[in-house]
Formats: sequence, C-alpha cells, structure tokens
Amino acid sequence: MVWKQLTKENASAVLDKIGNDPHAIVFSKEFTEIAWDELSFYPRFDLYRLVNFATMPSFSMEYISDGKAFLPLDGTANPIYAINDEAPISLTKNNVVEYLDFFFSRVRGSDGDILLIKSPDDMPFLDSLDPAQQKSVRDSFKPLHIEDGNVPGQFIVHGTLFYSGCLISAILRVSSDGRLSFIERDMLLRNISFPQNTVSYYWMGE
Amino acid sequence: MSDTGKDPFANLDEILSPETSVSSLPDEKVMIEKALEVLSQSSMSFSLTEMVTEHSLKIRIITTPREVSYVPESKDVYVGITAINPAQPAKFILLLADALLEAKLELDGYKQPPITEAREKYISMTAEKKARKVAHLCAIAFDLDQKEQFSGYRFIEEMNKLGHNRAMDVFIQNL
Repeated sequence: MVWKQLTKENASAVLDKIGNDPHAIVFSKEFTEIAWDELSFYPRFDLYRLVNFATMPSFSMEYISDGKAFLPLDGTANPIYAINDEAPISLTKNNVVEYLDFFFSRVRGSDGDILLIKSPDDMPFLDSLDPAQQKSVRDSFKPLHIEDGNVPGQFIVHGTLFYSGCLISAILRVSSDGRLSFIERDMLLRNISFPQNTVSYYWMGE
Repeated sequence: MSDTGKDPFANLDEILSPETSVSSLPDEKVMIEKALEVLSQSSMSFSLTEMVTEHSLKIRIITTPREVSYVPESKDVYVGITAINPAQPAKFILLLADALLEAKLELDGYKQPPITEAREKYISMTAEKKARKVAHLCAIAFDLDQKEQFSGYRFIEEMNKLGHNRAMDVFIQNL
C-alpha cells in the first residue's frame, strides 16, 4: 500500500464524520494520524487507516469510506462484503489478486492470520525458519494462477495460503460480487513455527 | 480436501461466509460486571475497580481485528475482542485490567507524549509507562492465579498468550 497522510485539517474533518455515530470508537484529534490509499477494485471508496498514539502500543483501525460514511473493518468478512454490494466492487483479472491480498490481510481466522503467499521469498518470516524448513516452503509453494470462471465476472484463483502454522494449496472461487469460497484446499506443509508476532505497530509519519 | 480425514481448515469456510457468525457472548454489561467482580478479589486490582466508580469511567466492548485494550481518554475504556473465537474470560479480564491500568496512569499524570515529540524521547517516555503497566498487570495475573476460586482461569497462561511471557517470567523470578 502507498499510504498518503491526511493534513491535520482533513484528519479533523474525518474524525468529526466518524464521531457523528454515537457508537463510534473515540479517537483523540490531538493524537490521531490518518492515512488513506485507493483500492483499484472500489471506484468510489478508499481505505483509511486511523492510528491513535494516545496509548502504547498505538491503536489502529481501518475504515472503508466514500468520504461520507465510514465503515470499520472489524476482522470479519461482513463489512467487506457489505461494501462490495454498496460500492459496487469492480473485479478484473488484473486486480483480483490485489483484492485477495486486501481481503486476507484484514479478515482473521480463529487460528490467526491468513496470508496469501505470492512468492515464498516475500514471506515475512522465511529468514527466521531453519534452512530445512525454508527449503520445504520453497519446494511446496504453488505459484498464483488466475483463470476465468464459468460465470461472467467470476475468477478461479490457484495459490498458496499460510494459516495456522501450515502452508495450504488453495483453489478459490471469487464471484463478481467479491464473495470468496474454496473449491479445493490441500495441506502442503505443517508445523511452520511463527517466530514473531505479525501485529503491526505504526510509528508517526509511517 | 483430498485427505480422507477431518478437514483441519474447515473454519476457513466460515470465515469466508457472507454472514460470519459472531460467536455468542454474554451481554456486554454482564461481561464487564463479572470481570470487575473478579478484579475486585485481588488486592492488586481492587483499587482499579474502585477507580471505575470514583471517576465514572465508561467501559465498552468493541469488535476489533485483534484483541486489544484501548484508552483514548482517561475516562473512555475500550476492550477490543475478535468476532471469531473471542477472548475467553481470563483473557478478557486481563485486557480490561490492562485498559484500567492505562486509565489509572493517565489519571496519575503519566500522560502520553505528543506525537510531535522527538522519537527518542517518545520511546523512552512510553517505554517507562508500559513497564509500569505491565509490571502491575503481572502482579494482578499472578495474584488471581494463586486464588483457588479462579484456578480454572489460568491467568498466567493467558498472560503468555497476550505476549507478556517474558515479563511474567521476570516477575515470578523476582518474587
């Protein structure tokens, strides 16, 4: 992502809009920085990242917004699917991987993070594994492959996921409305030890 | 799944489902009351529960991508729990204690440095605050863990799961 920082005035306006909802999470204007980025599959909506430095570690939440309504991403697929219908989502063969990346980095499983592995060398923890495990990961990895589905606007994506300490070979159906479902999944490798927490903390200005 | 055995990733289907069912939890008010009741049983956290009434703290439970405690202002206390597989009682109690400790430090004058502060100073100030908070949280977890009525809660184990394993080890070694 290429995050763009909002000015203090624009950030204040965004916080006012979010604060209009009585159930909204409170963010202090003094301590909160807001960055945003475009998402190619949502023509009218952008992704906003709010980081409040009032606590240690910093507290962050992401929202999808058209500049008027701000929908928090809560770790489930529900808000993403809601925006897919509202926006509506516009998927092509060129941006479907970006969508999958976005989806899996914001929706968590009961056993933790789900990572779409585009290249084994891009796995953030690969260097921390012992050489034998690194080789197993590289050997087991199945590269991304996208094909059209049976229905117009549908894509079938073959790839590799990391979840619950395992590498999984997956075939995913991505419907034109952005709904995901597994066609097939097979265990490639188990017991990959995750040496570090994947939680991201943000430093001001990052 | 080509394996003939049980699918170990069956829960992935639920995650992708259009209506992710949020795990059923007791009422927010009940969860908070019960957690405060447990915290009031420890001499290490009793004062935190008194602080809630004394300063009219507003405690809320929110759904967040990761479990978190968050105190944007000293009187607003949030405990963020995940929708799927939410925090079990002991972890929830520790997250609430963590948030209340943050509020206490704020009320005691340990303010968060402004974000315009120099990086080194920001780090040293927040590190000091965090050290105080985590040390107190270790004391609460240890004390509750020793109490027979909470033996099933496994507070120390939950501290480890929250990433405080090193702090907890150091605390126990120095007893």
